[in-house]
Amino acid sequence: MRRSLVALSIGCAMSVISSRSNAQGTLGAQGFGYPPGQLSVFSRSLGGATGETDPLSPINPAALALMRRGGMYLQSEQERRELESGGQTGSMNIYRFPLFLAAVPIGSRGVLGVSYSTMLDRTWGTEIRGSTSFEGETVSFTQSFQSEGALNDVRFAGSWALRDNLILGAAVHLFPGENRLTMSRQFDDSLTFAPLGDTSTVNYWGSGYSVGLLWRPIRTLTVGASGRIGAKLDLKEADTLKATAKAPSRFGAGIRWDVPGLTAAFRVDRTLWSDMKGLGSAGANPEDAWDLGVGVDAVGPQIFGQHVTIRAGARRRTLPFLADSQQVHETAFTLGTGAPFARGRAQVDFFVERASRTAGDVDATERSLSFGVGFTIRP
Amino acid sequence: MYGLRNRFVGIAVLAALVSGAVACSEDLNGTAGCPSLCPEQRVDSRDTVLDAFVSVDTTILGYPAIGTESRLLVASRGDTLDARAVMRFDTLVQHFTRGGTDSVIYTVDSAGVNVLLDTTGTKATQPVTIELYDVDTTAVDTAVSTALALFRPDRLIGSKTYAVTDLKDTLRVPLDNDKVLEKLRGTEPRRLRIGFKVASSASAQIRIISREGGGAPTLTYDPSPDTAVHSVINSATSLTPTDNPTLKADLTDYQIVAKTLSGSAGTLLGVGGLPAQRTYLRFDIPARLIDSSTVVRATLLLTQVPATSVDAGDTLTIYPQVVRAGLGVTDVGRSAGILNIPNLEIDSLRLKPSDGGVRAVEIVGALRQWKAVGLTTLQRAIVLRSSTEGASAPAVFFYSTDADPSQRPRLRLTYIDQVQFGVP
Repeated sequence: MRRSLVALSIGCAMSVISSRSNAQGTLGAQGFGYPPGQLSVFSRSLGGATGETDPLSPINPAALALMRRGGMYLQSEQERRELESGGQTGSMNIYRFPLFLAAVPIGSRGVLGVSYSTMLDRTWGTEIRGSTSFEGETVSFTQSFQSEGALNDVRFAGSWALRDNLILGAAVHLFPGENRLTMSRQFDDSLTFAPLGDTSTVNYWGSGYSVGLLWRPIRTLTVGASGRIGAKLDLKEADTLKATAKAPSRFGAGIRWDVPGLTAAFRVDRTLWSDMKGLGSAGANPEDAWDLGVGVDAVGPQIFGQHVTIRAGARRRTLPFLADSQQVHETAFTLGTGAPFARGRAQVDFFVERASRTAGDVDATERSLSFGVGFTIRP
Repeated sequence: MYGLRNRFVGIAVLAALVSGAVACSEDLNGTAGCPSLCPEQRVDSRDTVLDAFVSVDTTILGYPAIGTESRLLVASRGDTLDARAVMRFDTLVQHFTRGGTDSVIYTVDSAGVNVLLDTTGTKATQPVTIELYDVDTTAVDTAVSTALALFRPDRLIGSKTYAVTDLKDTLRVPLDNDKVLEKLRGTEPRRLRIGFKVASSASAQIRIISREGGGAPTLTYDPSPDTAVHSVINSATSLTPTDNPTLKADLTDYQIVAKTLSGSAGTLLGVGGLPAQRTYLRFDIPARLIDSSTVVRATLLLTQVPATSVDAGDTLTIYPQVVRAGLGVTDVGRSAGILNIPNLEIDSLRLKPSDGGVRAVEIVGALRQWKAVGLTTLQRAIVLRSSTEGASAPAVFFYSTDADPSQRPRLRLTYIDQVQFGVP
C-alpha cells in the first residue's frame, strides 16, 4: 500500500511539477528548496492573510467545510526570479503547479478533501565558468548544475461544522517527494578532457497530521487556527536510506473581517523547519520561519456583466534555509482579482506578486515576479 | 449576455495557456551569485599514475597488407632505401573501331602510363629518371626476390627523365610502342605488369597515389595512325589470383621494398618505416577507475628513442587509433588491423624520429568508449600507426615494458570518483 502510494505521489509529482530554469545563484532555493507557501491564488492575492480561513489553501483542515458543495481546484504559477550580486545579474524562470485540491460534501455539515501541494520546491539551475589545473596546465570549463522536483504535501482532510459558527477539522499528511539533479562539466579542450556528467535522484517520504478550527464569534469576524505535527521524514538516495528527520511542524492563526463588499485579513504562521535538521548536511540545516500576511479583498467593477474583485496583500516572512550562513527574508506585495463564470459553477482567480529577498549582509538581492492562475470548479 | 460570459471563459483559458507557454521558454544564462550562492558545486578530482597497466605491447609488421597501400613509394635513397611499385594492367584493349568496323590493333603509338603523384612525398634535388619494367612472370610476382629479379635492362619498357620542377601531381611516363604492341599481339596472357623504379644522381623518391588512394592509374596508346581514332585508355586491373577476389583486386598495384635500413624494432615499439610497423598496446586498467569513476583526462606517456632511420629529421604524423577487435580475436596481429578511424577518439601526434624524450598521448576518448562498451565485448587496446603507413620511410620508436622502469609506458589519469550532490 505504501509503495503504491509512493508511486502515485511520485507520478503526481512528475506530472504536476514542471519547471524550466537556467543559471544563477539563489537566495530562496537553498537547501531543500523554496517554500511557495501552500496558498491558493485567492490567499496569495491577499499576502497569505486568508490562509487559515481559505478552503482552497491546505493549511487549516477546518476551512475545508467552507466548500460545502465540494469541487476541484487547480493552480498554476510561473515565477521569474532575478538575482543581483556583485554587479552581476542572473535570471531564471520557474513554472510550477503548486496546488491541486478536490473536496466532496459529507452530509450537510461535513466535507472530505484531498490536496496535493508543493511544500519545498527545489528547482534551480546554475552555470559557471571555471578553470582547473592538471599537472601545471590550466584548462577552462563550463559547469552546469540543475535541480528539479519538490518535497510535496499530500493531505487527506475532513472537517465538520459543530455549530453554525464553529468548525473543526483534522487531516493526515503524507510527504512524498523527489529531486532530480544533474550536473555536467564541459572542458574547453574537449579533445584532451572528457566531459563530466552525473545524475542523482533524491526521494522523500514522510508523514504528519494536523488539526484546526474556524470560529465565527460575530457575523463579520472569523478566526482560524491550525497546527500540523510532523512525524518521520526519510530521505533516500538511489533507493538507499540516507537520513531520517522529522517533517516540519507548523502552527498558525488568522483573523478575517467580512463586511458587504470588503474582506480584510491577517495571518501569522510559524513553521518549525528545524525539525528537518539532520536530513541533509550541516550546511543545509534549516531555521524556523515566521510568516506574516495582511490583505484586503474588495468588490470591484463589473466586467462582462460580472463583478470582479480587487485584491491586495503584503507578506513578510523568513525562509528556512540559509544563504551564505545568513537567514533569508522575503517581502512580497501582491495584487489579484477573480470572478465566477459558467453561471457560478466555476471561478478563475489571478494574482501577480512582486517579492524581494535579502540575507543579512550578503551582497545579493533576489527579486521575483510571480504570476498565478487558479481554477475552481464546483458541481 | 451568455456570449459575453463565454468570451470571459475564453480569455481565462487563453491566459492560462499563455502562462504555460511563456513559462516553458528558456532564458538567458547568468552566473550571478556563484559560487557562494550556487548550491552544491563541489567536484573533487584525483590524479594517479599507473606503471603497470599494459598487458600486451608489441610491434606489428605486415600493415598495410600488400596491395592495400594508399600510396606507393618509389625511392632510391642510396644505401638506406630502395622501394619500388608494381601496377597490373591485366586487361588491355586489343581492338579499335574505325568507321563502324572493328579492327585488331596492328600498330601502337604514344603509349604511356599515367599516374597521380602525392607531391608531399617527392624528394629530389637532381633530375629523376623513372624507369618502367615489364615484371610479368608466371612465378609469384608478389615475392620481393622474384619481382626484383625482373627489374633488369632487357625488361625495361619505358623511361623518362624529369627535372625536379616537372615532378608535379600528374605524371605521364612513355612506354616503348613496339613492346606494348608485342604484348597486344603476342601469346596469352596479353597483359602488362609494370614495375616502377627511380634513378637519380642523388637521393630521390616519388609517391604515387595508388588505386586504393583514388589515383586511378591508366595505360594509354593510339591504336591507329588515323587521327580520327581516339586513344585507348586502359585502367589498371588484376586478374590473379583467381581464387581470391579481394586479393586479386588489391594486387592491382602494390609496394615492393627492395632494401631498407628500417629494421626490426626489437624490444622497442616501432611506428612507421618501411616495411611499415604498428605498435599495439593492450590496457589492463583497474575496473574501478574506468567503470566506477569518471576519467576526465588520460595521458599515455611514452618515452621516444631517437632514431637514425631514413628522413629521421622529417616530421611523422602518428594516429593513435582505438582497436575495435572483439575479445575473441586472439591474434594480436589481426587485432591491430581492426581499428576505428583516425582522429575519432584520439588526436594525432606529430613527432620527429630523431628526437627523444617523453611524449604524451591524450587517450581519454578511448577510455570513454571502453566505459560505454563495457568489459565483455571489445579489447581495450590502441594501435599507433603512421599516417603515411607503407609509403614513407621514417620510423619512430618508443621504449616498451621491457625497458627500465623509468622508461616504460605510463598512464596518468585524472578522475572523479563521485560528485557529491543530491543531498544538500
